[in-house]
Amino acid sequence: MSPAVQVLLAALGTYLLRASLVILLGRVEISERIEAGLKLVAPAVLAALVAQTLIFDGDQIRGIGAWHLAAVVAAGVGWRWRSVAWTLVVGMGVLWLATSVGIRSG
Amino acid sequence: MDRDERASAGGSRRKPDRDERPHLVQGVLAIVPLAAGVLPFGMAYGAAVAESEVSGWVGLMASVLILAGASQLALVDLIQRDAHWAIAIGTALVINARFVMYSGALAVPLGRVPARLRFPLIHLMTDQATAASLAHGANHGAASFGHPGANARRRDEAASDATAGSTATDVAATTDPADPTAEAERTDGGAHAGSNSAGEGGPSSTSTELEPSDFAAFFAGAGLTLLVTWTIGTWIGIEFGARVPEGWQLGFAVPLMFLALLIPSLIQRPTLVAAGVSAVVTLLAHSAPFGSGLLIGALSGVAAGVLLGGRLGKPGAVVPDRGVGVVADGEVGVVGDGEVGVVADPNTGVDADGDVGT
Repeated sequence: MSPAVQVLLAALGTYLLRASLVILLGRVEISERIEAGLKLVAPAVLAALVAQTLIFDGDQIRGIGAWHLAAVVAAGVGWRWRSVAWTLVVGMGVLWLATSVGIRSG
Repeated sequence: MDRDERASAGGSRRKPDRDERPHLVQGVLAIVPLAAGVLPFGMAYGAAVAESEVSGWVGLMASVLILAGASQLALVDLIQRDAHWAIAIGTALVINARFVMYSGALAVPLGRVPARLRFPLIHLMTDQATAASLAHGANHGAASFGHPGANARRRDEAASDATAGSTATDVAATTDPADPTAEAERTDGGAHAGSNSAGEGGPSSTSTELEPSDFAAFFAGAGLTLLVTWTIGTWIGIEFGARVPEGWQLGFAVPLMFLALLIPSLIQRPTLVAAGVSAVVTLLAHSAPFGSGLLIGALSGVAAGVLLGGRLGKPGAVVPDRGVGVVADGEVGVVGDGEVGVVADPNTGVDADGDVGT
């Protein structure tokens, strides 16, 4: 099967995944409890993504290092100032600073 | 409560007004900072395409039509290895399974958008656009997006709604006092609560400030900005085979992007519980087959947030996150797992630590 067709099929499948619950839940009454849970989905998935990437490097455990230092400082900045842009800037800044002074990246 | 009361209750600490820019523009602006993470990741993906037998235009088409970085990297990698097409496509879809969860999270707001807009918008569902848009809705105090007929109610009327009151009160009780944004929110919330004796209203009562069309506009602005950024990054990578020096550590930019989106939502107990449990369970389930650890973790987090969050907080305290505002594409974590993670070509510069896609 040609790469183009594989891409099209993956795109179609991905669209169906994206549409799945929008369509299904659009037809039923959603209880308060379910609705409460749905509002927690994004934070839960983001936390899972972040945790997985900070702790694991592929199948290996990532050593404590500059990544974690930068993540903690960035989280503090995000918490205090609630700015996405500053969280990114400070996070990358701390990482570069830390690695430039010889802290291994983790 | 009318405008004057609110203004005086809010006092000078409040920002003079909410963002009056069109919601579409606000959506664009929520994603712009994330370009710093999306562009290099797009370039890494583009570079992987350039090195593979997949032609440039097919790789570019994937960025527009699949719009999910980690799965695209996996797909290209597997095609390059001559994997059976079912394996290649299946792997990409497994990586994208988290969109089912986002689909649920967006079911209510998108369900209120007219179908001719809803079905195109569904395609723009990425980690960043989803998180930013849900936060935008929460920021506007919409505990839900209103029942038909309620949509015409404007912000001022909605302020008297019991749900708005209890929601805002909960925010007030848990926010960081030092935070200026939170300060505004708290003051606002206090005023609401005072006007309606901190209601019993359930999360699904008819409060709405953000109309479906406003949500759709924000979501479109955020989603299209991400799509364009991602596609430009891909194009640069394909065209120039962009190598980013390892020292730049851009592999960190993607998790950092998700962290930046996550943190502002952690002000409510249910959200905090959900995020904490999700992180811990995801790590414990890391070796689960087919990279399912992430889904197991996230579902556990949601369940814990619903069960424990309400108990730890007050009833009806389950409130959508607020203040998030970012972009990219759930690529990061899912790929990390060896089962699924055939992904990236080790040569794609950005991936300094083999993180995003090894």
